[in-house]
Amino acid sequence: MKPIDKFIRTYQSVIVSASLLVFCLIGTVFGVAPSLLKVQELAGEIREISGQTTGLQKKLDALTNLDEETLRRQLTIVLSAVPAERSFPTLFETIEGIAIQSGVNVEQMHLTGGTTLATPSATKVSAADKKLGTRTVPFSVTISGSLPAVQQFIALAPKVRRLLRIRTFSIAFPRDVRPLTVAIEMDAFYEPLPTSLGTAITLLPALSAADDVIITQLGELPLITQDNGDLPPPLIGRVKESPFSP
Amino acid sequence: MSNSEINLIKKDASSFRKLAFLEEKLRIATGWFLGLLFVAGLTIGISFLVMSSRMKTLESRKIELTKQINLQTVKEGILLSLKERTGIAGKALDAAKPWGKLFTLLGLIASEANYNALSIEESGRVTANIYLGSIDEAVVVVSNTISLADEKMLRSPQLISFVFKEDGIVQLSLSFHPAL
Repeated sequence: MKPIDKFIRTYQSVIVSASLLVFCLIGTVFGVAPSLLKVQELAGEIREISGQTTGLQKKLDALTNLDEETLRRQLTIVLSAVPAERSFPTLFETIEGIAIQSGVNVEQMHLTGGTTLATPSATKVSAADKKLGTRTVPFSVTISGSLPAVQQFIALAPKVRRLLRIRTFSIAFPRDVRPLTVAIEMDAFYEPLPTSLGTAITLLPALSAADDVIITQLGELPLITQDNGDLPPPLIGRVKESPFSP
Repeated sequence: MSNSEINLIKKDASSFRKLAFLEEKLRIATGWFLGLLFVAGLTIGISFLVMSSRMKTLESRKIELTKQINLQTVKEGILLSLKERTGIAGKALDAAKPWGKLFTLLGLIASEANYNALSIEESGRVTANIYLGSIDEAVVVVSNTISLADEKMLRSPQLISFVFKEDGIVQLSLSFHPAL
């Protein structure tokens, strides 16, 4: 009998047991452990997708519960206060309307600050506008009228739907010459509409109580311009027919 | 010893006992390990199948929800625009100071007829030139200004100039930040 055969015959059961143990070890290292990691990874993915699905369901419920007509009406109000573009016609119309209501004459009106004619989204936001948090059209208006009328104009200007801000003004009160002539530097606010939506999983913002207060406040301000109440064409969720169209 | 010979001498009994003991232990350990491997494999396999099925369900649900949300992009766009614009309008409302209230405040400092000039700087600082008939009137104006500052209706008042003219007229230049 060869020595090797003799060894195998003597330790046969030990060899079988040891081989099985090695098999178990290899199975654990190359089979169980990677599968366990894969399952763990899958569990993580399930958690993530489950979270996303819950978020999507909430978003869908929120969107379904929103009344589109109310939203449109509220957006029309807010857009008439801060339009999506400079909207010079509504600006001139508003100043003229305030002047008529307060009884002053508009002598001159200048657009100041090198107003560019580029599309609003292409213009750079100035440091002052960044600080303010919105874009502005700076302009100056020279008005003439009695002191109460001028006071009325200054009081009324920040209280109309096309939001305006008085930056500076100076009044000289001559003893003999009437009416007064006053130069007022003002800003009109505008801000381009957002042009892109987030992905479907992007959380939907909710209108806070403070937002509702602002919308109500704006709705109560007198609208001097002849607004037709139409919303601008939607920029979001629309594919342009021509990529070169504005 | 040649191959044809038989060794009848009894081997050491303790070495047989040790080997038998080792064999027994190894057999038990092997049984346990095989059992554990089988159970682990089965558990992992079942978990994987269950999780894959759950994953497929969730993915199809996600696709379905995404489709339904995409059908409402216009509404979502309006809401996003409204939310963004409301914030901007709020900032614009804050920036638009109600300067009309200034005239009420000026009336509390001096009579309207006494004002000669009025200017508002971009920082919101108001400078007023006032002509008064006597020093006593000037004292009243300064006193009124201080009282209004005490009442927090204006802040950081400054007397920029005080000119007493030959004809008894006093020319005051005041500046302050109104609390509008």
